Amino acid sequence: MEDSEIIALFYERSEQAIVELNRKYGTAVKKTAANILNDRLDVEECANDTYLGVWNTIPPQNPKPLVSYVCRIARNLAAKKYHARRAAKRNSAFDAVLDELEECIPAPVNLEAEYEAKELSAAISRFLGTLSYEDRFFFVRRYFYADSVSDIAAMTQGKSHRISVRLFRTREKLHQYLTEEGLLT
Amino acid sequence: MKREQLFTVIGDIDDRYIAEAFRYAPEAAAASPERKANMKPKRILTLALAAALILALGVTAYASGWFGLSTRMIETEIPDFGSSTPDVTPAPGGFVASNGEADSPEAQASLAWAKAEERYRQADWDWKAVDAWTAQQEDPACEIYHCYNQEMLDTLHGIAEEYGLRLHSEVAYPMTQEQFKQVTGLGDFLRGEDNFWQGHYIFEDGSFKGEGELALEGGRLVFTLQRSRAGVLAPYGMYVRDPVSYDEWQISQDGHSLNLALRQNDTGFDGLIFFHEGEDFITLSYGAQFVPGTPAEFGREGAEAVAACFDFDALCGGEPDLDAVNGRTVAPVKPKEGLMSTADFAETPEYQAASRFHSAYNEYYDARQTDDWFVKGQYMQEYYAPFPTGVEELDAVLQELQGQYALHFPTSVRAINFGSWARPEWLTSLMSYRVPEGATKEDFHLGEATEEETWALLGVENFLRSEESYLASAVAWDTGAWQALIVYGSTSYELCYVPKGSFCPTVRAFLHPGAESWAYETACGEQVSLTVDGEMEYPRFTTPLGLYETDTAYVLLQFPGMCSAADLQLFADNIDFTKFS
Repeated sequence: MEDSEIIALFYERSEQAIVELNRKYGTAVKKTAANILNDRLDVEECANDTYLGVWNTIPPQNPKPLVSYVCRIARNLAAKKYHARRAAKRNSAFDAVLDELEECIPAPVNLEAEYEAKELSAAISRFLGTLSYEDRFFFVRRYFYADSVSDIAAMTQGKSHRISVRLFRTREKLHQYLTEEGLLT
Repeated sequence: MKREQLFTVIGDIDDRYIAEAFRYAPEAAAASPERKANMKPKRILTLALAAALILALGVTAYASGWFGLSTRMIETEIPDFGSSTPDVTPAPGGFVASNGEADSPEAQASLAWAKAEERYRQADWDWKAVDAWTAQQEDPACEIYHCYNQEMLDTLHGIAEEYGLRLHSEVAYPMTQEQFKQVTGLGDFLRGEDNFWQGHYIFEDGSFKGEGELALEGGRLVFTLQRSRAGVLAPYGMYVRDPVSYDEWQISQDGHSLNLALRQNDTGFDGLIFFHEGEDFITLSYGAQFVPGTPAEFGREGAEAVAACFDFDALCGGEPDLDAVNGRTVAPVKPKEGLMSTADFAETPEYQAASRFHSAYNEYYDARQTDDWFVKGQYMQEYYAPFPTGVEELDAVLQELQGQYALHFPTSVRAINFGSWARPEWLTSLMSYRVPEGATKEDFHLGEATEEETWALLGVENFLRSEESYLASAVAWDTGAWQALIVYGSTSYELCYVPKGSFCPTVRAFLHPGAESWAYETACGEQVSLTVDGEMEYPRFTTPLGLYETDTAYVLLQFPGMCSAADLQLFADNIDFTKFS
């Protein structure tokens, strides 16, 4: 089913919207959550919370593309659950994703003002536009979807080591880009 | 920059790129200008030949048994663990059982069960039905092997029978390192003061699995450690992707031969160590997170440094004694004169008022939940916002309570949540919070809070007795009442301080107010009254409670959910009640 048709079902408040959303993006939602959460039941709960979040926000939202919207909700909910329960459970793989990000943006940035956070996101988006398809794919899969390097290698029929090196170089370029943009001290 | 902030910034990148990365498009990669600019025809041919040569060498090496991994690994396709590109070809690789060489019945059975589990994992489960079914099962294999219905359980037994193996019959979950030693009969096997280990579960034959951290030069390293024994269908194994990418070699350490495997990536590495002695199979796996900000040059030297952190001799043998955890019993003592029982506490205005509000708040909360997945009636929500609540029906309850009980009601509240000052009104428990519509997650955090500030918020000296516990989260009201989350080993529980004459909204109602309690002499020498509050009545959890009384306050040890009497005693032993006045 096309995204527009699924969104139309949400606007009609038809429960079939959730069925179709799960059919089309359920695997992506669970994978995104599973990359962050270590617990099968937590992943299921996160997926359900994601569908609830989509149900509660469409309408009035009319997101395009729908997959980005849904996966962003899943990602945020999974991260929230992860941080809330981290006293009892750790996910070293997810910690590794956060460490890598911290590594390429180590300088203190004042993010208390919301617009500065959005400015940084926009700068990173502009940076992504300068990359090759593959480098951009690797970066987004690793740092938005929190995939492991091995999973990315499986998706792309590539070698983990090569992907790791490409990610490292992309992070170096990002650091340089943000410095030149004046966003890092 | 806070890691969570970085994660959020990345989350707000352009939607187009998120959608673009949903599915890999090789044709897009081939058309990428950057790729074309860097590759020259002659070099492509050379690289292709080199790749083929490396692959051939790798296959040859595996066939000849040069590498330890080959003797443990069964070649098989890696299943798709919910990838967002379901049409991707399953990755080649292998499966390593925790307790046998590749051709052993243990390894073959372990793989067969992993494949069966994968098929069942992909099904859509009715979790309420699963909960109801597992609650009725007496076969310990249900819990140990995560069987959700009779078909799964029958499949499991069938595999065990086919390969002539037994199933694990008992499991213990040690919460602390001290318990782990008691239940395994093992001594210290981890070298180095800054290294940490937490055994998660141990079976009746002494097999166990757990995680830990090593402090190595330049960073900390997370590891998973398994010890398994022959003759049983082990409930856990490991898939290994792209095994040819590992560098493998053997070393001698403390007179033993260890098989090491390592592969590099730009932030670190992922490695394996195999050791086999007698009936004990030891598998150590570890990965990344090393020297942030610099490319990792871990290499064989680093892998051997990991191995050197372990005394593999000390990991073998030992007489398992699951009773050390599972067989702990209630240890009542004669109550000292004047010791308040939990039943007596239930008669106090402090309990009566607070528990009535706690129940009213949960009923209010439940009435507003409309999702199928939400289970009403658990009474697990907490209210941390200021008073009055601004909600008519809740404030009506408050007014009634204020009229009925002469208590000091709070007017302000502060909170520290996992190392940062936080908005208490967003907390739903000491471990979680909800962001209101229109706000962002970043608004929850109000600045970093040190450990000293956390103790200062409570206005009490450090009362934790075990080095395996720490204060993770705290909420304090202007009445002097407070509630704190204590992490202890692999679990956590709450301590609530209620000055006499004050109202503390996080005092929960007993499910069985007349439930028996017992006097217990804690490790600090003080007596407390303990109750597990009877049997759970689904969906409502019990309210296990430890009660300590001073001249001016009640100190309540609360466990959010169910816990055993023995665990309640363990939690109480961790508190130095002499610190409270």
